[in-house]
Amino acid sequence: MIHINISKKIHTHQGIIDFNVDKSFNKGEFITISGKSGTGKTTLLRMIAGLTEPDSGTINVHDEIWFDSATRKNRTIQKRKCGFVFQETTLFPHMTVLQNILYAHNDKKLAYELLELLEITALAERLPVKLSGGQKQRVAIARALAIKPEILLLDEPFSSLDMNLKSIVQDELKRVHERFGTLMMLVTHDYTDIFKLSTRTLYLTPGVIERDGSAYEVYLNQLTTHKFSFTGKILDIQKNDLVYNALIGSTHGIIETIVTEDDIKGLTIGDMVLVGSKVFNPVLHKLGVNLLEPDAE
Amino acid sequence: MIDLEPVLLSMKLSAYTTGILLIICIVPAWYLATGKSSCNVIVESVLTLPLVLPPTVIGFYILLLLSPRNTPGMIFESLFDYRLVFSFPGIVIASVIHSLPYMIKPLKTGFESIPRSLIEVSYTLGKSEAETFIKVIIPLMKKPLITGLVMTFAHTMGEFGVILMVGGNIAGKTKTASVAIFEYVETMEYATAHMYSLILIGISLSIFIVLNIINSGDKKEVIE
Repeated sequence: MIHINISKKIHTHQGIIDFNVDKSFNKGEFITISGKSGTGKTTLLRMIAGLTEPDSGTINVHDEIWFDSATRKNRTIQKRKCGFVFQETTLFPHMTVLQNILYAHNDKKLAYELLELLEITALAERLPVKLSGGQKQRVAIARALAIKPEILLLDEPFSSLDMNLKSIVQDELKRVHERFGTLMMLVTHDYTDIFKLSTRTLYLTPGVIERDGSAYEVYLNQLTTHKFSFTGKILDIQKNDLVYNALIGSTHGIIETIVTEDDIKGLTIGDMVLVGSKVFNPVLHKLGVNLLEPDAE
Repeated sequence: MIDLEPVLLSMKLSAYTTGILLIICIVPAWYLATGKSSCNVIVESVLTLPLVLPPTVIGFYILLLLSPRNTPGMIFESLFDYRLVFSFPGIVIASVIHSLPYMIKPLKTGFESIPRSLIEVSYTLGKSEAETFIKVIIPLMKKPLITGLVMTFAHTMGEFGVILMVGGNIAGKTKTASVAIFEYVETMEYATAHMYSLILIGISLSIFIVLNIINSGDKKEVIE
């Protein structure tokens, strides 16, 4: 059990905000964290990793105190065993992919196991400059996993990837989570991340966690029981006699579906929707929280 | 046949100055690049001063400092029984002070260009500050280090005013190539002055060609 009860004044574009968190997390959870920019998402991850010091409070991980402002205890970054994957590339440019992973933990067997798990074994001897964006982030995830972290913190690692690539990395991350059961915390603006990966999601407004629950609880007004469902973005809506054709882009590709006038009420091109089917007919639900904007923290 | 001793002495002085500055500048440059102290601005300004001050001003004060009539020089002489003024070690000290900005500036700029996230990620991987510095930061400093070494070496090769003030013109000890040129021009031996000048031009040009070849490596296309 990980318990975080911390406060910090954060300087954002909107001014100074009071950031307060009092939450518990369990091993094996996949937490996604979303919210508009300047709400403290990245700062939360940084405080857990020890990269930013909270003003007050406690961080307790499996009955070990990582931070306690009252007793001035602050475990060093090095001793926290938090894997951290940054938004930007942080591979060491002078080391090959394999050397990057071995730098974290000098164990070739484990390094190759991780390379295989993330399907990048063929890239082992390449320098980061010869990798694509998706490959770089996969190496960064493998490297962070090499320290066998208590918590894997991911700060928008997929934000620069295109939809297809993002889908592949999401699948790999899901596999990694199932394989290791590490507590993962992913800051994201993407509904596909939230619905595909999370076992629990947090939605932040400036300084506070406003919603906490499953993706369905947080982003849909009511729980649905669909036979299948996925999230996507409305690309186009065209009237076709009495019904409408809706074109929806998702990580599965572009899907065209027939919807009624009632279905598309309140929907416009660009809206994120949940597409689900109960028996035959796909139904579209507008996602509860407005489209998340890119982070600028 | 031209006497190569002044040229060799210049090269020896440059090598000593560059080596000493490399050792003493790395850590201060790191703190100047990453430190948040308000004193950094003042420290950096003082360290950069030799770039703009006339060499005679620096030379004059170093001469006073090393002179056995003043405390620092007196202490050194009583401890080591050695007089620094008008000696090779004396001109090495003067040259180190005068060439300091040529080493510290590129190093500081190099350290500043290393993304903070690279350092932070190394800490999250359990690596200490010292290990991160040696295994991550220093390897990424190859170009700034080469620039610092080359610039310091080249600048010291052309050092004149400070050396003349602190070392005078003693053959084999303090008579470097640039001092020799001054002497031969004064005595109107233009042919010899030409020879030394051409040698210095040749050395400086070669150094900068090498530097530009190294830096042109940057322009290779990056495959994404």
